[in-house]
Amino acid sequence: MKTAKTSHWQRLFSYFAIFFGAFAGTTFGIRLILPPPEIPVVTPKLTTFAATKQNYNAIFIGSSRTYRHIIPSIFDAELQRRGYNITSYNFGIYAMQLPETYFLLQQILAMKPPGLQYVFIDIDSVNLDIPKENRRTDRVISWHGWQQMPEIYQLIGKQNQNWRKKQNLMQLHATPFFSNIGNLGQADRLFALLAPATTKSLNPGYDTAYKEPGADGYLSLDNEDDIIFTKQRQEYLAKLDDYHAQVATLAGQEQTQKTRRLQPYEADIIQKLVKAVTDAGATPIFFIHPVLKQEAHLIEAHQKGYIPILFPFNQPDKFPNLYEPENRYDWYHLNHKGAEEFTQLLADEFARYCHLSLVTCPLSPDK
Amino acid sequence: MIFTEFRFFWFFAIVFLVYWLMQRNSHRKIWLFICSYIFYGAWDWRFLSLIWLSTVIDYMAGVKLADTEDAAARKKWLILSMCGNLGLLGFFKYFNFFVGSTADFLDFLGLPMQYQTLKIVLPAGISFYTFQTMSYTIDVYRGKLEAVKNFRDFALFVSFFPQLVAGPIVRAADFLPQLTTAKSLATVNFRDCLVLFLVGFIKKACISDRISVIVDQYFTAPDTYTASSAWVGVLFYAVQIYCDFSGYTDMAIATAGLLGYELCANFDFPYFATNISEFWRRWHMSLSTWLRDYLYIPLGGNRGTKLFAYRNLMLTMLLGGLWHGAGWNFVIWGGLHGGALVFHRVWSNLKLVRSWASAQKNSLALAQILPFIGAILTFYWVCLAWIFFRARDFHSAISTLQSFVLFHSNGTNQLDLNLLWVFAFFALIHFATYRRLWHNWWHHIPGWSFAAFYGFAFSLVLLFIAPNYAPFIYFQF
Repeated sequence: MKTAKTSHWQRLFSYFAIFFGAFAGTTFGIRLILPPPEIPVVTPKLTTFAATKQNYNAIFIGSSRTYRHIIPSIFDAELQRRGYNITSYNFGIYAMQLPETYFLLQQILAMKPPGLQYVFIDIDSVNLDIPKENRRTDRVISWHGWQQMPEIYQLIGKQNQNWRKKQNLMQLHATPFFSNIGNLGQADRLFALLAPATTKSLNPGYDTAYKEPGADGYLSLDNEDDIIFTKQRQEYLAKLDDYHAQVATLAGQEQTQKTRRLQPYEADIIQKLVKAVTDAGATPIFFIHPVLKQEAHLIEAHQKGYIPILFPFNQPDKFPNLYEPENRYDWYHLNHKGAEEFTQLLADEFARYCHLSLVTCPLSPDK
Repeated sequence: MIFTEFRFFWFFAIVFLVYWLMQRNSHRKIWLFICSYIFYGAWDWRFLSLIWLSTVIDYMAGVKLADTEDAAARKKWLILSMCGNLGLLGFFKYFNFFVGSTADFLDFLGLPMQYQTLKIVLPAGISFYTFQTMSYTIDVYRGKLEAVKNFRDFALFVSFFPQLVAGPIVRAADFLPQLTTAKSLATVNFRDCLVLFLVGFIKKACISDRISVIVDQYFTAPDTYTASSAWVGVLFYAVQIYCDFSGYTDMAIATAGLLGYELCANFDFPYFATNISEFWRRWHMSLSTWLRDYLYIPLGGNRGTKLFAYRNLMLTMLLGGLWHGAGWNFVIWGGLHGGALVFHRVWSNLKLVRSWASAQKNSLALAQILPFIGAILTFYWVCLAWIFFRARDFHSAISTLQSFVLFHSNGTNQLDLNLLWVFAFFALIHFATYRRLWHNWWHHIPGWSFAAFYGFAFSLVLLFIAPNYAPFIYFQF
């Protein structure tokens, strides 16, 4: 009786091993033949950059603010005018926060762009939460691979949160990871080749609202016409009084006032970013957009030496134009006019560093 | 926790291993009881108290009914059980509906009434487990079933997790004897259970969840779509709700089977029914037999005049509609089905039709064509009724109905008509399954090749699942 039972379990486990082997083999095989995911904004930028990487010696990487605020043509022209030979590409991606920025940077650096000298980094905040509507998108799934998961779990482990919240975060990131390694729902990539219109009609998702970026990676919010953008603008215009009050509060705060302390996990990922860039032979330059927050933790990171160079533009008293409603699209973003002004100011600041030899800048051939 | 989530796979792997590693049936039942409460508590642990309350009430009622022969006392215990279960259901599911409807009616009579609705969260599966426990007490009262003395067994009957939240509605007479039978891993039909689970998973995750996007898109603003889009929206909803609910049931039956329990079938290719009566013998069978045994027959059933029987049929379907949800749209849905059932019964009883049908019995062509026409008409009526089941409000239902029946375009938005090819593909696969084209082939291959095939198939299925999990439609009932 005992032997019969044991052999039954043995048989069960051997069948399970066969099942698992067949499952893993098929999944791996499918992975090899699947075309890469078409992620709005991210894929076009990576493709363009891969094809023209030898042209650029500077990139801007960060969230939608980087995407909407920095016009590489203006930045490059301004520096040319001052005698510096800079050609840049905008790698800003909507709703991108750390750690995704770090993984995208790793992808970019893995392409080994030959002339890359400067990486301008905008780190809004380290956010390990993933908005519900994005949890099963190709984009989120794509940055949850075997290599990234240990880093994500390390970051979660270092957070100052209770065990329950950490467990929820671990579970949250496990779903896209399993979706990634198990090819969950990836048949659309094949369907899209066969019947793109029908595939799209089965997936009228969040991401489809975004238009393709320009050749330099920049696209103004003024050019987006989807309702999600116009709605944000309307809400902003309807609450201009609140906006002005927040600007006034920010202007009243001292730059050194510690409204928010740097967390150990934030320091950790900032150091990782800096190391990744310097290991690639480039200089990391951090900057803060004209936001309505003080970002004291970044100032602290700068003071502690984790961030070697920091250009903070979130100072309404110093950069009042950037906070003028006529230069803004909504609460969080500038419009094209604001972007022109901001890019100009960023170029000025960078040129000042070049001029003071705080960074080594390549001179224009005609100089 | 739903069957298509990752966490369910981990949960079930632990349940399965610990369950079968236990030697004694009593330990296994305690383990299943604990796991069932964990499963239900994963939604909202606060509602565990409701299942517990329903369990205690019906266990007590059952014991007391068995202990006494006094008719008045027995009636008292039955009423107590009914009040307890219907009270729970009435408060959590129908309170706001009845208060709102009463106020609307009084307003209509010119007697406006001030009222406030309560913010009540509907506990998952409350309609299922209250019906299940009620049937137990009624059967004990009728003397058809012996009362359960063992509280643990009864508590497991009420909370058994595979069918707890969306059925099938298990009869105590079918389930309780299984609790006393010792289970053995060797007797589990792994192949059938695993195939059934995979089929259910495909229906839910690959079909229902995927097409729900189209259905939602149409039913969000039916006023803006063309008539052909309405057809796409309605046909896809028919597919969605069938795949969603029957997929859940398949997975529930398979999960229970892997633990050595047998649950009753709930669907038998209802969309191939050749008339509406047959549809109800094939759709949500555990509910339709419940309604027949505990509502239709007690109302009088077929006894008395034909008109009386039609009234009973109509009442049963109206209440059946209301069981699905607290809204007049569900009542209309029930009414449409009730009306069709009455019409079918009248039609079948017409002397002219009966004599014509018997005269044509030997005509092979007609024998093949008539069921086909019947199936088309039945499916059309079922789809038409689904409009009321799915529409957000009465106005949207009427708009969709205009498009679906009169081909009237309410707007210019157009859903991709190529989706009808997708529908045709599903119909073809479903028909092939109905004709048992690939029935039981998995029994005829060696164990190792079945395991390898399952691994291969499971990997492919994951490739095709929808990008987003959607809760099961019937969870809201």
